[in-house]
Amino acid sequence: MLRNPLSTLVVADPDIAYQRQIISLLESSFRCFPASSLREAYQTIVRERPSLITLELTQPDGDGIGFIQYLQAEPSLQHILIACVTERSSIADKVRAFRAGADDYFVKPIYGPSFYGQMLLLRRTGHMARNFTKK
Amino acid sequence: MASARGENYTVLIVDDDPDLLQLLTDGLELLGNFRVVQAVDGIQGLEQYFEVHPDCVIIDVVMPGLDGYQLVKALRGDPASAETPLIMLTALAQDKDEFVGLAAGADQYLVKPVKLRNLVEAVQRAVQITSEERQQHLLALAEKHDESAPEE
Repeated sequence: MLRNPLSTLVVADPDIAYQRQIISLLESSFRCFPASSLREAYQTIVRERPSLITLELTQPDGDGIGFIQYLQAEPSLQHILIACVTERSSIADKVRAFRAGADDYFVKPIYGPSFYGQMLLLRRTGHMARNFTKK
Repeated sequence: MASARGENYTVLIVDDDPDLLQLLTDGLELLGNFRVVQAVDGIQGLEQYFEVHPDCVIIDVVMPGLDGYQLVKALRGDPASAETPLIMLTALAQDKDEFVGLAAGADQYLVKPVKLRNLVEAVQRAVQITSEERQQHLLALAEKHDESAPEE
């Protein structure tokens, strides 16, 4: 049996405990790289060329919504699927994130088995849903 | 607790077609004895959800603001709304559309036009789904289509 190469995921969260939890949940199906700020997330994205990113919207060096807009505006990065995994639960934040280009939105605390399944399905269907949304 | 016929269930319908919205509302109230709340787009759907905390949400896909896939994800990804039964009701009839809807987190995917009796029965089935069943369905769907699974 062959195994397909794991896709690469950047986990952008300033909370180290959450970084570890997300990586622990997903590392069987993703090559995970942590980042503790938007600056570090950008550097890791450029270096590792991920297909997905999990993004805490509240970051020490800026707002995650603006970071989503930046990724979406940059042709070489706009293919990256973006899952917000955040403490922010307001309707306004959810709407702003999706309108900026987020592909999924999880409010902390995350529930392990469901989160794992939803991330696998995001990897599989994220671009199909994105094509629909942009029609 | 609501009875087997669902007399006490509150159903939120999110659809940007006002004529269909009213037809579905009348049908669910008459045939299902549900209390029905309406929303005309995805953003109003989110607002109404946290206002009335419905027992089930019926969601169109093609809508302004947030589309139906985004609304399902917003509800399924928040612990405050993650366990609510979600039914997609849409004119998008291709297999890939249904797959994307179920992958987003919908419990059922129905294609328009739908008989009102069938929609009532879909709501009655959806509100019986347990958290464990929902999680098992999600994981089964994810593993069935997992790109990193071993190849034969």
